[in-house]
Amino acid sequence: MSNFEPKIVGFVCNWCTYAGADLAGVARTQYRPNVRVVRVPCTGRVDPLFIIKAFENGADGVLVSGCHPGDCHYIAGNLHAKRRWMFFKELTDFVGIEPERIHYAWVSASEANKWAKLVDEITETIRARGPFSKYRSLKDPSSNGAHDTLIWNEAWQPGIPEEAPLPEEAPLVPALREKARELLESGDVQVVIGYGWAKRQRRVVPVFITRPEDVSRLLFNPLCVNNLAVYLPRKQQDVAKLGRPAIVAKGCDVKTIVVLLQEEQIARNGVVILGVPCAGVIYRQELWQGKLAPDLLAPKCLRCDVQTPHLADHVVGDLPAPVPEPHSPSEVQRQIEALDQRTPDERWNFWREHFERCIKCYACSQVCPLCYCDRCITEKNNPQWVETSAHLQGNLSWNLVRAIHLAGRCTFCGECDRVCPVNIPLNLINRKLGMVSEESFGYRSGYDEKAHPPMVVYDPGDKENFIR
Amino acid sequence: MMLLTRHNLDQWVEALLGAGLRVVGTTMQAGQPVYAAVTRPSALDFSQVIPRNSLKDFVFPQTEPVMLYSIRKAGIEVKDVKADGPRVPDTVVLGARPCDAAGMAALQSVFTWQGEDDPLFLERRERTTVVTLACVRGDRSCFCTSVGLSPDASVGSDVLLRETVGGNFAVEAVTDKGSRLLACWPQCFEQGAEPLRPLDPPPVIERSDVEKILAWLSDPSHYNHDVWSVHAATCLGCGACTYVCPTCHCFDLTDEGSAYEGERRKNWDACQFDHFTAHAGGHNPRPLQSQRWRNRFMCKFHFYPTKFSAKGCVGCGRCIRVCYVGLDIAEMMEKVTGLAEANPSRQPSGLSREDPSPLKGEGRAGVS
Repeated sequence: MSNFEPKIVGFVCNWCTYAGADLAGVARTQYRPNVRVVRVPCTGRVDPLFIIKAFENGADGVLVSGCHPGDCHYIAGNLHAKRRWMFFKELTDFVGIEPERIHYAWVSASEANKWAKLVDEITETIRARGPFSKYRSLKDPSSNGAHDTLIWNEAWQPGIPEEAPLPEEAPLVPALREKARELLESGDVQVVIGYGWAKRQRRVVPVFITRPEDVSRLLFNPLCVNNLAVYLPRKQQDVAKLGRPAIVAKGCDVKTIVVLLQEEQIARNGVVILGVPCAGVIYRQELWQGKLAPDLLAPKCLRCDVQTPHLADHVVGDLPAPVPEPHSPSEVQRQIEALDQRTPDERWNFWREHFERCIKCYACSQVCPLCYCDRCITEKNNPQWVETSAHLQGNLSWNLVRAIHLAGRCTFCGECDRVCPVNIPLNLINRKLGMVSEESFGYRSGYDEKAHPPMVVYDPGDKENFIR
Repeated sequence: MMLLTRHNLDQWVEALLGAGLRVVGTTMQAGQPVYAAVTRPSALDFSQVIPRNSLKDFVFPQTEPVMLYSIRKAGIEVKDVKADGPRVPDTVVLGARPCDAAGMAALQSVFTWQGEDDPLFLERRERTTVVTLACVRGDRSCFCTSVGLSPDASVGSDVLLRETVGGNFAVEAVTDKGSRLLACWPQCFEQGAEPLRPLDPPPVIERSDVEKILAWLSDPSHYNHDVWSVHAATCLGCGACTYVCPTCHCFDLTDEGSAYEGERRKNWDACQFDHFTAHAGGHNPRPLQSQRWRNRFMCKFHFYPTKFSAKGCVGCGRCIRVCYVGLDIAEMMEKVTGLAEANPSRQPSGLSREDPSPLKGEGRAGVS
């Protein structure tokens, strides 16, 4: 280990840090040669995926450095970058990448000495940590997921069990059908996106009602767990072709609609929201035994604060009985806190075991109403950012990318967590970044369609303590 | 009849493992049935209706390297993945479901189509002997009887086992390869006669007829029929149905590695993904998810039977079980049959009634 020379990739901004490093060279300042500099126009250009890619290609550490706040050549690129780092740093910490591996800094064009000192310091810090072999070992073919380690999610027999009685319909159903008929008959909407029984199975599925005479198919009961907002973005061209939609939405679904409105994926007058007050839904229909017990509730129902939808054109029916008192009100938070208490290596191993199982089906992104890009980063192959094979290194990259793209946006509907065929606890990552959003920016996603999500704005007062 | 007693079954598994063979069968993992390699007889569970994964995992893995490359100043070097010796273990699948065995046969007809053999697939297939266990029960999603198979169909199997009322197995060799496998351990099998356990075949889907479906699909004017957009509009395009399907076989070739060296890998792909048909110029001939869903249905009931003379759908029901939004291929079979009956189309253009053989080039199934 004594002759280990760390490889460090430095993403530096053209206008400040690059010039500062250049000045250090002109001044013949002696400092460690371990940083390989990649010049970028602005730290705002540094996609977190660059950092992941550097590690994939054998870096032992990464340095990102740019102009001091207020000095950005593009006014605020560095402040936007800082917000991104605030999320990304928490995310990399959470999956067990030691904080010593990734460094963030402000170095101006005149701070040649700061640059030299910075490089010396981080080189020694990373040297002390040793080679980043735990990341490199992900490439090892033996680390590729094997079927022996699969944990399949329990939803194998679809629908509710044969012997279980059907759930009672919510009292609001007649009013819901009446409203739907009214909207379709008046031509106000051409399709109602709602819930209905499947034709052959004992199972509630999404249904699209296009004719007034079919509204009797609509229902609402504790099996209506799916987040139907996934059908609203432009990407869903089949739905768009049907015409202006009305959507049956629980409060939690409305949260997602709020984000879609904020991000201008739908126009407020482009959809009629039929809000349904909700007393909680089951996590998986397969678990239904006749009544909604607290331990069967979807995690999103625990501590629900939107039982009556907070944004709707029509709220159908009255507030139902409150959600039954859950056993463990903050199970997800408890798990996150327990993980936070562990060492980086323990967290790394925890996530490694989970990501090992990932089969790269991308079902998590397909069911996510907020994953609506026409072309996902995973589909870009020139260069290929995320490898398509299911192996640990690519699996980790994918899961980090997915998480960071949802930071400050996710409304924790839990659909990704429910759909994952190999039970990766995706809710944990989403919630963790949600906690960051709340702690750092006082922002909770999905409540106010006029608010600015944390990743699209900046505040010079954002915390700095992790930046050198 | 030849009998394999429960006791001898364990002995046989021990013998197979002892001979260095990989034994694949239904195991329980985290409470779920999964086809996986086992290291002891007790890990096998014959009581499950159907495992979550299909047998294609073992002959057509999700990720498989096809070549290695390195780029140096001296030039480009390409290396055969098989250069380092055989990587594929000789495998016995013990307790395959008849639908999964039929799926094997369907895959084989694709990967040997018109003499275009896929050596990677063939090597795995030839090193795999399929010992099928007839089903004594199905579940709500099973529909093998509606696609011309049955709980004791032997298509694609090398050996067929049937449970007897005494808890033993009646053994029948289906292919030469199967006979050869049985002949290696004669001490495990005995002659005897025991009544078979009755099979409980899944109910035939009412008003569904694959011949009529084929005829209706063969009519190009039905390609843009409303039934597709109405039935399949809720599809989210997650592709889970194709991943668990025993006959879905599409793959993508991708180079993964650094600029200097890497592997060319064959990875599963799926017609349900929006970029599956995307052209380099940006055009996508199947821009709607309902069209992608139509493609899968037509692949199963039209392209497969006409192009490969094989069963595209074996009725395992996995796509119904995994679908996140409850799309049901059987419901569509009913619907299309109804359309065909309401509007009798021209004669089926594909599978002729005189040739019931579901497997073209069946002779290839033998061990070389």
